[in-house]
Amino acid sequence: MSRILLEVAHVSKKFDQQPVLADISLKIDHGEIVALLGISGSGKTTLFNIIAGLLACDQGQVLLAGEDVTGQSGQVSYMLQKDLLLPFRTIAGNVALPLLLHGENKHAAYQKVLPYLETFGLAGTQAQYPAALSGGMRQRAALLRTYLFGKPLALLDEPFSALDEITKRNMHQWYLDVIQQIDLTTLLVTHDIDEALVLADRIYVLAGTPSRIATELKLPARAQRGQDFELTPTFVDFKRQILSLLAGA
Amino acid sequence: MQKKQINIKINWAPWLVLGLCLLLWQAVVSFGIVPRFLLPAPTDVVTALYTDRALLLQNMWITLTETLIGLLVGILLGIFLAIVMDRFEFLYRAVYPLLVISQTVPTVAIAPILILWLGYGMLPKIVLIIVTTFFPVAVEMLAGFRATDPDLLQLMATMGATRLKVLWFVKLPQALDHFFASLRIATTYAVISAVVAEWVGGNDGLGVYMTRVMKAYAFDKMFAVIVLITILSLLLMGLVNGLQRWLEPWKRAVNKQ
Repeated sequence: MSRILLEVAHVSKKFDQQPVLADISLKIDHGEIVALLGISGSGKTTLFNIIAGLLACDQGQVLLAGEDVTGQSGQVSYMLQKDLLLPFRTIAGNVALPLLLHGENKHAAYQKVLPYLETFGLAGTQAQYPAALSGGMRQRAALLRTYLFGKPLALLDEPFSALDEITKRNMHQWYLDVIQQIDLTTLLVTHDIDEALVLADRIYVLAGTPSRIATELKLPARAQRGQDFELTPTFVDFKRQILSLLAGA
Repeated sequence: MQKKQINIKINWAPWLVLGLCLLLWQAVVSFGIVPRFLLPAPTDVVTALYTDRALLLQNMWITLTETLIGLLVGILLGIFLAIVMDRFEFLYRAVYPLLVISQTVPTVAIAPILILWLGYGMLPKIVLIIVTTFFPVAVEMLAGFRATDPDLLQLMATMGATRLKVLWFVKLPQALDHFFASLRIATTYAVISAVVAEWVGGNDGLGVYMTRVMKAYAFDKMFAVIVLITILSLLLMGLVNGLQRWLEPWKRAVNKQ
Protein backbone atom coordinates (compact mmCIF):
# COMPACT_ATOMS: atom_id res chain seq x y z
CA MET A 1 0.00 0.00 0.00
CA SER A 2 1.18 3.44 -0.83
CA ARG A 3 2.32 5.64 2.05
CA ILE A 4 1.20 8.74 0.21
CA LEU A 5 -1.71 10.46 1.97
CA LEU A 6 -2.05 13.66 -0.03
CA GLU A 7 -1.02 14.28 -3.56
CA VAL A 8 -1.43 17.60 -5.31
CA ALA A 9 -0.91 17.13 -9.04
CA HIS A 10 -0.26 19.99 -11.48
CA VAL A 11 -2.57 22.48 -9.84
CA SER A 12 -2.89 25.90 -11.46
CA LYS A 13 -5.06 28.86 -10.53
CA LYS A 14 -5.77 32.23 -12.05
CA PHE A 15 -7.55 35.21 -10.53
CA ASP A 16 -8.94 37.61 -13.16
CA GLN A 17 -6.62 36.24 -15.87
CA GLN A 18 -3.70 36.76 -13.47
CA PRO A 19 -1.96 33.42 -12.85
CA VAL A 20 -1.31 32.90 -9.14
CA LEU A 21 -0.30 29.26 -8.95
CA ALA A 22 1.45 27.45 -11.79
CA ASP A 23 1.75 23.70 -12.01
CA ILE A 24 2.01 22.96 -8.29
CA SER A 25 2.73 19.34 -7.42
CA LEU A 26 3.48 17.97 -4.00
CA LYS A 27 3.13 14.79 -1.97
CA ILE A 28 2.74 14.13 1.71
CA ASP A 29 3.28 10.75 3.34
CA HIS A 30 1.34 9.38 6.27
CA GLY A 31 2.50 10.83 9.58
CA GLU A 32 4.72 13.47 8.01
CA ILE A 33 4.84 17.15 8.88
CA VAL A 34 5.32 19.05 5.66
CA ALA A 35 5.70 22.81 5.48
CA LEU A 36 4.65 24.96 2.57
CA LEU A 37 6.77 28.07 2.82
CA GLY A 38 6.23 31.30 0.94
CA ILE A 39 6.13 35.04 1.39
CA SER A 40 2.87 36.92 1.84
CA GLY A 41 0.91 37.05 -1.40
CA SER A 42 2.63 33.97 -2.80
CA GLY A 43 -0.66 32.11 -3.08
CA LYS A 44 -0.08 29.92 -0.02
CA THR A 45 -3.57 30.45 1.26
CA THR A 46 -5.01 29.97 -2.24
CA LEU A 47 -3.34 26.58 -2.39
CA PHE A 48 -4.52 25.86 1.17
CA ASN A 49 -8.10 26.64 0.13
CA ILE A 50 -7.81 24.47 -2.99
CA ILE A 51 -6.57 21.51 -0.92
CA ALA A 52 -9.29 22.11 1.68
CA GLY A 53 -11.84 22.09 -1.17
CA LEU A 54 -12.98 25.62 -0.40
CA LEU A 55 -11.82 26.96 -3.75
CA ALA A 56 -11.90 25.41 -7.21
CA CYS A 57 -8.65 25.18 -9.16
CA ASP A 58 -8.38 25.79 -12.91
CA GLN A 59 -6.27 22.76 -13.62
CA GLY A 60 -4.93 19.81 -11.71
CA GLN A 61 -6.08 17.38 -9.08
CA VAL A 62 -6.07 16.91 -5.35
CA LEU A 63 -5.83 13.25 -4.32
CA LEU A 64 -6.39 12.07 -0.78
CA ALA A 65 -5.28 8.50 -0.12
CA GLY A 66 -5.44 7.93 -3.88
CA GLU A 67 -8.96 9.26 -4.26
CA ASP A 68 -9.78 12.34 -6.28
CA VAL A 69 -11.20 14.92 -3.85
CA THR A 70 -10.67 18.01 -6.01
CA GLY A 71 -13.20 20.66 -5.03
CA GLN A 72 -14.69 18.61 -2.19
CA SER A 73 -14.73 20.23 1.23
CA GLY A 74 -14.92 18.34 4.50
CA GLN A 75 -12.27 15.79 3.47
CA VAL A 76 -9.46 17.29 5.51
CA SER A 77 -9.52 19.24 8.76
CA TYR A 78 -8.03 22.69 8.87
CA MET A 79 -7.13 25.42 11.26
CA LEU A 80 -6.44 29.10 10.72
CA GLN A 81 -4.42 31.76 12.47
CA LYS A 82 -7.62 32.89 14.21
CA ASP A 83 -8.68 30.20 16.65
CA LEU A 84 -12.38 30.60 15.67
CA LEU A 85 -13.46 29.28 19.06
CA LEU A 86 -17.03 30.16 19.94
CA PRO A 87 -16.87 32.63 22.85
CA PHE A 88 -20.20 31.44 24.22
CA ARG A 89 -19.25 27.77 24.48
CA THR A 90 -17.01 26.26 27.11
CA ILE A 91 -13.71 24.72 26.03
CA ALA A 92 -15.25 21.25 26.20
CA GLY A 93 -18.21 22.56 24.19
CA ASN A 94 -15.95 24.05 21.55
CA VAL A 95 -13.66 21.09 21.24
CA ALA A 96 -16.55 18.62 21.11
CA LEU A 97 -18.25 20.58 18.34
CA PRO A 98 -17.24 18.24 15.48
CA LEU A 99 -18.64 15.30 17.47
CA LEU A 100 -21.87 17.14 18.29
CA LEU A 101 -22.29 18.09 14.63
CA HIS A 102 -22.10 14.42 13.76
CA GLY A 103 -25.07 13.78 15.98
CA GLU A 104 -23.32 12.47 19.06
CA ASN A 105 -25.13 13.35 22.26
CA LYS A 106 -23.68 16.01 24.49
CA HIS A 107 -22.78 13.82 27.44
CA ALA A 108 -21.00 11.17 25.38
CA ALA A 109 -19.14 13.79 23.37
CA TYR A 110 -17.92 15.62 26.50
CA GLN A 111 -16.78 12.32 28.03
CA LYS A 112 -14.84 11.51 24.91
CA VAL A 113 -13.17 14.88 24.88
CA LEU A 114 -11.84 14.88 28.47
CA PRO A 115 -8.79 12.61 28.03
CA TYR A 116 -7.75 14.57 24.93
CA LEU A 117 -7.87 17.82 26.89
CA GLU A 118 -5.21 16.30 29.09
CA THR A 119 -3.06 15.24 26.13
CA PHE A 120 -3.35 18.73 24.68
CA GLY A 121 -2.34 20.40 27.92
CA LEU A 122 -5.81 21.72 28.61
CA ALA A 123 -6.69 19.63 31.66
CA GLY A 124 -9.14 21.40 33.95
CA THR A 125 -10.22 23.99 31.40
CA GLN A 126 -13.29 22.10 30.15
CA ALA A 127 -15.79 24.33 31.97
CA GLN A 128 -13.98 27.57 31.19
CA TYR A 129 -14.79 29.94 28.35
CA PRO A 130 -12.23 30.77 25.64
CA ALA A 131 -11.85 34.37 26.86
CA ALA A 132 -10.35 33.05 30.10
CA LEU A 133 -7.53 31.22 28.28
CA SER A 134 -4.19 32.45 27.01
CA GLY A 135 -3.49 32.69 23.28
CA GLY A 136 -1.42 29.52 23.30
CA MET A 137 -4.11 27.55 25.11
CA ARG A 138 -6.75 28.79 22.71
CA GLN A 139 -4.67 27.64 19.76
CA ARG A 140 -4.26 24.24 21.41
CA ALA A 141 -8.02 24.03 21.90
CA ALA A 142 -8.55 24.98 18.24
CA LEU A 143 -6.03 22.32 17.24
CA LEU A 144 -7.79 19.71 19.35
CA ARG A 145 -11.08 20.61 17.70
CA THR A 146 -9.36 20.24 14.31
CA TYR A 147 -8.02 16.84 15.36
CA LEU A 148 -11.39 15.63 16.67
CA PHE A 149 -12.88 16.36 13.29
CA GLY A 150 -11.32 12.96 12.69
CA LYS A 151 -9.72 13.47 9.29
CA PRO A 152 -6.23 12.02 8.76
CA LEU A 153 -4.78 15.22 7.28
CA ALA A 154 -4.70 18.54 9.11
CA LEU A 155 -4.03 21.73 7.19
CA LEU A 156 -2.66 24.48 9.39
CA ASP A 157 -2.58 28.00 7.96
CA GLU A 158 -0.06 30.03 9.99
CA PRO A 159 -1.51 28.58 13.18
CA PHE A 160 1.05 30.11 15.54
CA SER A 161 1.82 33.44 13.90
CA ALA A 162 -0.46 35.47 16.16
CA LEU A 163 1.45 34.28 19.24
CA ASP A 164 4.41 36.00 20.86
CA GLU A 165 7.91 34.63 20.24
CA ILE A 166 8.29 32.62 23.44
CA THR A 167 4.79 31.17 23.37
CA LYS A 168 5.35 30.28 19.73
CA ARG A 169 8.55 28.38 20.57
CA ASN A 170 6.79 26.52 23.35
CA MET A 171 3.94 25.68 21.01
CA HIS A 172 6.40 24.28 18.44
CA GLN A 173 7.95 21.99 21.04
CA TRP A 174 4.53 21.03 22.31
CA TYR A 175 3.27 20.27 18.81
CA LEU A 176 6.20 17.95 18.12
CA ASP A 177 5.48 16.15 21.38
CA VAL A 178 1.75 15.81 20.89
CA ILE A 179 2.04 14.68 17.29
CA GLN A 180 3.87 11.57 18.53
CA GLN A 181 0.88 10.63 20.67
CA ILE A 182 -1.78 11.09 18.02
CA ASP A 183 -2.06 9.88 14.49
CA LEU A 184 -2.05 12.98 12.35
CA THR A 185 -0.42 14.12 9.16
CA THR A 186 0.24 17.84 8.91
CA LEU A 187 0.53 20.30 6.09
CA LEU A 188 1.76 23.53 7.64
CA VAL A 189 1.36 26.68 5.58
CA THR A 190 3.67 29.42 6.86
CA HIS A 191 5.83 32.41 5.99
CA ASP A 192 8.05 31.80 9.01
CA ILE A 193 11.30 30.12 7.88
CA ASP A 194 12.38 29.18 11.40
CA GLU A 195 8.99 27.67 12.14
CA ALA A 196 9.13 25.55 8.99
CA LEU A 197 12.66 24.37 9.79
CA VAL A 198 11.80 23.51 13.39
CA LEU A 199 8.54 21.71 12.75
CA ALA A 200 8.74 20.11 9.32
CA ASP A 201 10.20 16.89 8.01
CA ARG A 202 10.15 18.36 4.51
CA ILE A 203 9.66 21.85 3.17
CA TYR A 204 8.23 22.99 -0.14
CA VAL A 205 9.29 26.52 -1.00
CA LEU A 206 6.84 28.54 -3.08
CA ALA A 207 8.41 31.34 -5.11
CA GLY A 208 8.06 33.30 -8.33
CA THR A 209 5.16 34.98 -10.11
CA PRO A 210 3.06 32.99 -10.61
CA SER A 211 4.15 30.81 -7.73
CA ARG A 212 5.82 27.51 -8.43
CA ILE A 213 7.45 24.98 -6.17
CA ALA A 214 10.95 26.43 -6.25
CA THR A 215 12.49 23.61 -4.30
CA GLU A 216 11.81 20.74 -1.97
CA LEU A 217 14.04 20.39 1.06
CA LYS A 218 14.39 17.25 3.11
CA LEU A 219 15.48 17.99 6.64
CA PRO A 220 17.55 15.63 8.78
CA ALA A 221 15.59 13.07 10.78
CA ARG A 222 14.32 14.47 14.03
CA ALA A 223 16.45 12.12 16.16
CA GLN A 224 19.62 13.47 14.53
CA ARG A 225 18.80 17.12 15.03
CA GLY A 226 19.84 17.38 18.64
CA GLN A 227 18.86 19.85 21.30
CA ASP A 228 19.70 23.18 19.71
CA PHE A 229 19.03 22.49 16.08
CA GLU A 230 18.22 26.15 15.49
CA LEU A 231 21.76 27.12 16.43
CA THR A 232 23.59 24.59 14.24
CA PRO A 233 25.35 25.34 10.94
CA THR A 234 23.03 22.86 9.19
CA PHE A 235 20.03 24.95 10.21
CA VAL A 236 21.71 28.16 9.07
CA ASP A 237 22.63 26.59 5.72
CA PHE A 238 19.01 25.60 5.13
CA LYS A 239 17.87 29.07 6.11
CA ARG A 240 20.37 30.73 3.78
CA GLN A 241 19.23 28.53 0.92
CA ILE A 242 15.56 29.36 1.52
CA LEU A 243 16.26 33.07 1.91
CA SER A 244 18.08 33.24 -1.40
CA LEU A 245 15.20 31.46 -3.12
CA LEU A 246 12.59 33.76 -1.62
CA ALA A 247 14.63 36.90 -2.18
CA GLY A 248 15.29 35.95 -5.81
CA ALA A 249 11.58 35.78 -6.46
CA MET B 1 -14.90 29.44 42.84
CA GLN B 2 -18.09 29.31 40.79
CA LYS B 3 -20.29 30.22 43.75
CA LYS B 4 -18.39 33.32 44.74
CA GLN B 5 -20.67 36.21 45.58
CA ILE B 6 -20.79 38.75 42.79
CA ASN B 7 -19.90 42.15 44.13
CA ILE B 8 -22.81 44.45 43.34
CA LYS B 9 -22.12 48.15 43.57
CA ILE B 10 -25.20 50.29 43.83
CA ASN B 11 -24.97 53.76 42.39
CA TRP B 12 -26.67 55.98 44.96
CA ALA B 13 -26.35 59.26 43.06
CA PRO B 14 -29.57 59.03 40.98
CA TRP B 15 -31.54 58.03 44.09
CA LEU B 16 -30.26 61.09 45.86
CA VAL B 17 -31.29 63.35 42.98
CA LEU B 18 -34.69 61.67 42.82
CA GLY B 19 -35.16 62.17 46.58
CA LEU B 20 -34.27 65.84 46.33
CA CYS B 21 -36.72 66.36 43.45
CA LEU B 22 -39.50 64.70 45.41
CA LEU B 23 -38.72 66.87 48.44
CA LEU B 24 -38.78 70.01 46.32
CA TRP B 25 -42.04 68.92 44.72
CA GLN B 26 -43.58 68.23 48.14
CA ALA B 27 -42.43 71.64 49.40
CA VAL B 28 -43.81 73.51 46.39
CA VAL B 29 -47.26 72.01 46.97
CA SER B 30 -47.23 72.08 50.79
CA PHE B 31 -46.33 75.77 50.90
CA GLY B 32 -49.14 76.53 48.46
CA ILE B 33 -46.89 77.81 45.65
CA VAL B 34 -48.82 75.66 43.19
CA PRO B 35 -52.51 74.91 43.98
CA ARG B 36 -53.11 71.35 45.09
CA PHE B 37 -55.89 70.61 42.59
CA LEU B 38 -53.47 71.24 39.72
CA LEU B 39 -50.42 69.48 41.13
CA PRO B 40 -50.89 66.84 43.83
CA ALA B 41 -48.06 66.37 46.32
CA PRO B 42 -46.05 63.12 46.24
CA THR B 43 -47.79 62.11 49.44
CA ASP B 44 -51.18 62.59 47.72
CA VAL B 45 -50.02 60.33 44.90
CA VAL B 46 -49.00 57.63 47.37
CA THR B 47 -52.35 57.96 49.13
CA ALA B 48 -54.16 57.63 45.79
CA LEU B 49 -52.08 54.55 44.96
CA TYR B 50 -53.09 53.02 48.26
CA THR B 51 -56.80 53.88 48.33
CA ASP B 52 -57.36 52.82 44.71
CA ARG B 53 -55.09 49.79 44.95
CA ALA B 54 -57.74 47.17 44.20
CA LEU B 55 -58.88 48.91 41.02
CA LEU B 56 -55.32 49.73 39.98
CA LEU B 57 -54.09 46.16 40.46
CA GLN B 58 -57.04 44.75 38.55
CA ASN B 59 -56.36 47.09 35.62
CA MET B 60 -52.62 46.54 35.84
CA TRP B 61 -53.17 42.82 35.55
CA ILE B 62 -55.03 43.35 32.26
CA THR B 63 -52.33 45.66 30.87
CA LEU B 64 -49.59 43.29 31.98
CA THR B 65 -51.30 40.32 30.34
CA GLU B 66 -51.66 42.21 27.06
CA THR B 67 -48.05 43.35 27.24
CA LEU B 68 -46.63 39.90 27.92
CA ILE B 69 -48.69 38.10 25.27
CA GLY B 70 -48.03 40.81 22.67
CA LEU B 71 -44.34 40.93 23.50
CA LEU B 72 -43.94 37.17 23.34
CA VAL B 73 -45.68 36.88 19.97
CA GLY B 74 -43.81 39.96 18.69
CA ILE B 75 -40.47 38.45 19.72
CA LEU B 76 -41.24 35.10 18.10
CA LEU B 77 -42.40 36.81 14.92
CA GLY B 78 -39.29 39.02 14.91
CA ILE B 79 -36.95 36.05 15.36
CA PHE B 80 -38.77 34.08 12.69
CA LEU B 81 -38.53 36.96 10.22
CA ALA B 82 -34.84 37.42 10.98
CA ILE B 83 -34.20 33.72 10.38
CA VAL B 84 -36.01 33.60 7.03
CA MET B 85 -34.50 36.90 5.88
CA ASP B 86 -31.06 35.58 6.78
CA ARG B 87 -31.72 32.32 4.98
CA PHE B 88 -33.35 33.67 1.81
CA GLU B 89 -31.57 36.63 0.31
CA PHE B 90 -34.49 37.47 -1.99
CA LEU B 91 -36.85 37.69 0.99
CA TYR B 92 -34.39 40.02 2.66
CA ARG B 93 -34.32 42.26 -0.39
CA ALA B 94 -38.08 42.10 -0.82
CA VAL B 95 -39.28 42.40 2.77
CA TYR B 96 -36.67 44.42 4.65
CA PRO B 97 -37.36 47.80 2.98
CA LEU B 98 -41.08 47.30 3.49
CA LEU B 99 -40.51 46.57 7.16
CA VAL B 100 -38.58 49.80 7.54
CA ILE B 101 -41.30 51.78 5.79
CA SER B 102 -43.99 50.13 7.90
CA GLN B 103 -42.31 51.56 10.98
CA THR B 104 -42.92 55.13 9.87
CA VAL B 105 -46.65 54.63 10.40
CA PRO B 106 -47.42 56.04 13.87
CA THR B 107 -48.89 53.48 16.27
CA VAL B 108 -51.36 56.05 17.61
CA ALA B 109 -52.83 56.22 14.11
CA ILE B 110 -53.30 52.48 13.73
CA ALA B 111 -54.75 51.95 17.20
CA PRO B 112 -58.26 53.31 16.37
CA ILE B 113 -58.45 51.16 13.23
CA LEU B 114 -57.49 48.07 15.19
CA ILE B 115 -60.11 48.88 17.82
CA LEU B 116 -62.80 49.31 15.16
CA TRP B 117 -61.81 46.02 13.53
CA LEU B 118 -61.16 43.91 16.59
CA GLY B 119 -63.41 45.39 19.28
CA TYR B 120 -62.82 46.68 22.78
CA GLY B 121 -61.22 43.58 24.25
CA MET B 122 -57.59 42.56 24.61
CA LEU B 123 -57.05 41.49 21.00
CA PRO B 124 -56.50 44.92 19.36
CA LYS B 125 -54.04 45.85 22.13
CA ILE B 126 -52.11 42.63 21.65
CA VAL B 127 -52.02 43.15 17.89
CA LEU B 128 -50.72 46.70 18.30
CA ILE B 129 -47.97 45.47 20.63
CA ILE B 130 -46.98 42.79 18.12
CA VAL B 131 -46.86 45.36 15.33
CA THR B 132 -44.57 47.65 17.35
CA THR B 133 -42.29 45.03 18.90
CA PHE B 134 -41.47 42.57 16.13
CA PHE B 135 -39.55 45.18 14.16
CA PRO B 136 -36.69 46.00 16.54
CA VAL B 137 -36.29 42.30 17.29
CA ALA B 138 -36.20 41.30 13.60
CA VAL B 139 -33.73 44.02 12.66
CA GLU B 140 -31.34 43.40 15.54
CA MET B 141 -31.43 39.62 15.25
CA LEU B 142 -30.69 39.89 11.55
CA ALA B 143 -27.74 42.18 12.31
CA GLY B 144 -26.54 39.60 14.83
CA PHE B 145 -26.82 36.75 12.33
CA ARG B 146 -24.98 38.73 9.70
CA ALA B 147 -22.12 39.60 12.04
CA THR B 148 -20.98 35.97 12.01
CA ASP B 149 -17.38 35.55 10.86
CA PRO B 150 -17.50 34.05 7.32
CA ASP B 151 -14.40 31.95 8.14
CA LEU B 152 -16.33 30.44 11.02
CA LEU B 153 -19.28 29.64 8.76
CA GLN B 154 -16.93 28.00 6.28
CA LEU B 155 -15.32 25.96 9.04
CA MET B 156 -18.74 24.85 10.27
CA ALA B 157 -19.71 23.90 6.74
CA THR B 158 -16.59 21.78 6.26
CA MET B 159 -17.32 20.07 9.57
CA GLY B 160 -20.59 18.98 7.99
CA ALA B 161 -22.93 21.35 9.83
CA THR B 162 -26.36 21.77 8.25
CA ARG B 163 -27.93 25.23 8.10
CA LEU B 164 -30.12 24.34 11.05
CA LYS B 165 -27.12 23.30 13.12
CA VAL B 166 -25.21 26.44 12.18
CA LEU B 167 -28.23 28.41 13.34
CA TRP B 168 -28.43 26.53 16.62
CA PHE B 169 -24.73 26.26 17.47
CA VAL B 170 -23.46 29.55 16.10
CA LYS B 171 -25.90 32.15 14.88
CA LEU B 172 -28.53 32.13 17.61
CA PRO B 173 -26.15 32.25 20.58
CA GLN B 174 -24.04 34.80 18.77
CA ALA B 175 -27.05 37.06 18.20
CA LEU B 176 -28.06 37.00 21.88
CA ASP B 177 -26.44 40.36 22.63
CA HIS B 178 -28.30 41.92 19.73
CA PHE B 179 -31.46 40.18 20.85
CA PHE B 180 -31.33 41.62 24.35
CA ALA B 181 -30.56 45.10 23.06
CA SER B 182 -33.71 44.86 20.93
CA LEU B 183 -35.71 43.29 23.76
CA ARG B 184 -35.07 46.33 25.96
CA ILE B 185 -36.50 48.58 23.25
CA ALA B 186 -39.35 46.19 22.54
CA THR B 187 -40.31 45.97 26.21
CA THR B 188 -40.71 49.72 26.64
CA TYR B 189 -42.56 49.91 23.30
CA ALA B 190 -44.88 47.13 24.45
CA VAL B 191 -46.00 48.86 27.65
CA ILE B 192 -46.47 52.17 25.84
CA SER B 193 -48.45 50.51 23.03
CA ALA B 194 -50.71 48.73 25.50
CA VAL B 195 -51.53 51.96 27.31
CA VAL B 196 -52.03 53.92 24.07
CA ALA B 197 -54.36 51.27 22.68
CA GLU B 198 -56.34 51.31 25.92
CA TRP B 199 -56.67 55.09 25.74
CA VAL B 200 -58.19 54.86 22.30
CA GLY B 201 -60.82 52.40 23.37
CA GLY B 202 -61.33 49.57 25.79
CA ASN B 203 -63.09 48.30 28.87
CA ASP B 204 -60.17 47.57 31.18
CA GLY B 205 -56.51 48.36 31.63
CA LEU B 206 -54.36 51.15 33.01
CA GLY B 207 -54.93 53.26 29.89
CA VAL B 208 -58.69 53.04 30.35
CA TYR B 209 -58.33 53.89 34.04
CA MET B 210 -56.22 56.87 33.05
CA THR B 211 -58.81 58.31 30.66
CA ARG B 212 -61.50 57.89 33.33
CA VAL B 213 -59.60 59.70 36.08
CA MET B 214 -58.61 62.37 33.57
CA LYS B 215 -62.25 63.11 32.85
CA ALA B 216 -62.77 63.40 36.62
CA TYR B 217 -59.81 65.83 36.91
CA ALA B 218 -58.38 63.48 39.57
CA PHE B 219 -54.75 64.57 39.21
CA ASP B 220 -53.57 62.49 42.15
CA LYS B 221 -54.92 59.33 40.50
CA MET B 222 -53.42 60.31 37.14
CA PHE B 223 -50.02 60.62 38.74
CA ALA B 224 -50.61 57.37 40.60
CA VAL B 225 -51.21 55.48 37.38
CA ILE B 226 -48.13 57.05 35.75
CA VAL B 227 -46.05 55.88 38.70
CA LEU B 228 -47.55 52.42 38.39
CA ILE B 229 -46.81 52.19 34.64
CA THR B 230 -43.23 53.30 35.30
CA ILE B 231 -42.81 50.64 37.98
CA LEU B 232 -44.27 48.05 35.62
CA SER B 233 -41.79 49.00 32.88
CA LEU B 234 -38.90 48.92 35.35
CA LEU B 235 -39.91 45.48 36.60
CA LEU B 236 -40.09 44.16 33.04
CA MET B 237 -36.64 45.65 32.33
CA GLY B 238 -35.31 43.93 35.43
CA LEU B 239 -36.78 40.69 34.15
CA VAL B 240 -35.00 41.18 30.81
CA ASN B 241 -31.69 41.82 32.57
CA GLY B 242 -32.12 38.73 34.71
CA LEU B 243 -32.94 36.67 31.65
CA GLN B 244 -29.82 37.94 29.91
CA ARG B 245 -27.60 37.03 32.86
CA TRP B 246 -29.14 33.58 32.91
CA LEU B 247 -28.77 32.98 29.16
CA GLU B 248 -25.26 34.41 28.82
CA PRO B 249 -23.25 32.59 31.50
CA TRP B 250 -19.98 33.22 29.64
CA LYS B 251 -20.33 36.96 30.29
CA ARG B 252 -20.35 36.37 34.03
CA ALA B 253 -17.40 34.01 33.81
CA VAL B 254 -15.35 36.58 31.91
CA ASN B 255 -16.30 39.45 34.18
CA LYS B 256 -15.03 37.53 37.17
CA GLN B 257 -11.51 37.46 35.75
